[in-house]
Amino acid sequence: MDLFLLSALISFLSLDTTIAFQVLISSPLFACPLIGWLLGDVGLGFEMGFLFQLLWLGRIPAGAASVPEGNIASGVATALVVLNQHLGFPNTAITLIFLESIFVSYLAAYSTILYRKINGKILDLILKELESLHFKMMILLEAASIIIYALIMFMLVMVILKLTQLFLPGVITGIGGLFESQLVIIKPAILGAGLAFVFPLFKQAFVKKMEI
Amino acid sequence: MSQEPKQPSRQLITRGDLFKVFLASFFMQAVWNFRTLISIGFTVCMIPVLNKLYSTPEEKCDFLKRHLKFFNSHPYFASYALGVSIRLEEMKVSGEAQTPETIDRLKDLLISPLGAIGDRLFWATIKPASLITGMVGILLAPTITLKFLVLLIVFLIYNVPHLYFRYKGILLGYRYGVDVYKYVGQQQFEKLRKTYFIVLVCSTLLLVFSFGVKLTLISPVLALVFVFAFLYSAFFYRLTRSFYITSFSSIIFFIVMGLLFF
Repeated sequence: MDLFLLSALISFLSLDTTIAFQVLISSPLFACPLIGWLLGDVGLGFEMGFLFQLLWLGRIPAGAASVPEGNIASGVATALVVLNQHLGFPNTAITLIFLESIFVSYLAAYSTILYRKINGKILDLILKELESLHFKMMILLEAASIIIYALIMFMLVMVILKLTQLFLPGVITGIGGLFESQLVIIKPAILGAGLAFVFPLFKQAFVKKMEI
Repeated sequence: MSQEPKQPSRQLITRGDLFKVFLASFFMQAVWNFRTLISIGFTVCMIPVLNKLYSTPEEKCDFLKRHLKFFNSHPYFASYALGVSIRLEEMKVSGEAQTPETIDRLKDLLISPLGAIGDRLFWATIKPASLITGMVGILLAPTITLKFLVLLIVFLIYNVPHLYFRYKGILLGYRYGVDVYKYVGQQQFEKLRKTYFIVLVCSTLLLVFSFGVKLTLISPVLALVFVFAFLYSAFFYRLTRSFYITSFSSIIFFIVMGLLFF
């Protein structure tokens, strides 16, 4: 599958996170198998979804909080792991791509903040159009905002995939040749860390009841 | 639920209109911005009823501007505020003394409880319960077909309550108007939250147990790494409160451990 189409798919799935629908399909558990399936290895997609799901689950996007964009990061990570599996160093690939995915989740979160600032400009435009009694423009501007988000994420994913694919195969081969067997601990370490991020949810579930 | 609400003297909105509002509500957070938060998405959701309520462009623009003021809520539970706003606008059009200030005030009052209930019920309970149950299913399912079946089940156990509250909120808000506060107390959702919370606890324990057993069968040392990674990250996360620092430093730490001792 072409990197262009792959980026388009990941950016489309990212809309489900906060922009539209919010039916869970952007979660790693759903998105990673889909990406794996399209790239020809659904089993690896399921494995990546399983590994990455817990990491981003504990962060609640309440109010104006900015949370790591784990869904996009997981999609990018799954694509990179599947694309580089032919190198024969799965543990090294997952280790390096996991470290990159933390950076990707930060970049995507920053892009979301940028997008929300752009939406402030869209609000000004809407108010201006309403002054001119053009109320139908509101729907068009809402659609434009959705497209802007998809484009921002598409460009981010595309640049990351293209850049990473330039040097990652060489790095995986170099490091994998030396340390592949030592990096066998990466999967339990990721899952253990993920569990630690989910742990606060148990505490939050017992917070004092809030009445209207 | 026994007390029947006062009906508007002139019913302008049909169930079909409310269904269109429900469909539009899937884009509730589309134009989220730092000044008015979800107010643009909220206002766009009401466009399907706009022509039923107002006829002149001036009235329509006033209506839209009124709802573009600051508003925030959990995206699923904002449906209650949508229903209430539509109902009050309808009463205002029918001349039943609902002023724009009343509508604004009620919306402001709903921000806090709708946000708190939604975040606690969905983000902190139903979502993790559904996804961790799915993880257990994927770990235990032996074939790809069964894994897809697990995903379908997870999709349903999350989205059945999601769609129910999204739609029912609009209907209840519209039906009860200002009295909707009786139906959005934390206690109304406590039974459902507790059920999903039990699912969350059981599925997490099952996940830890089944993954731990699987690792032990491969190598007991890997099972120890899993436990130690949890303890290390939990401690570090408590210390820093930063996802990025904790996840990065934890993995670097275990890479170094792997290189030194494996």
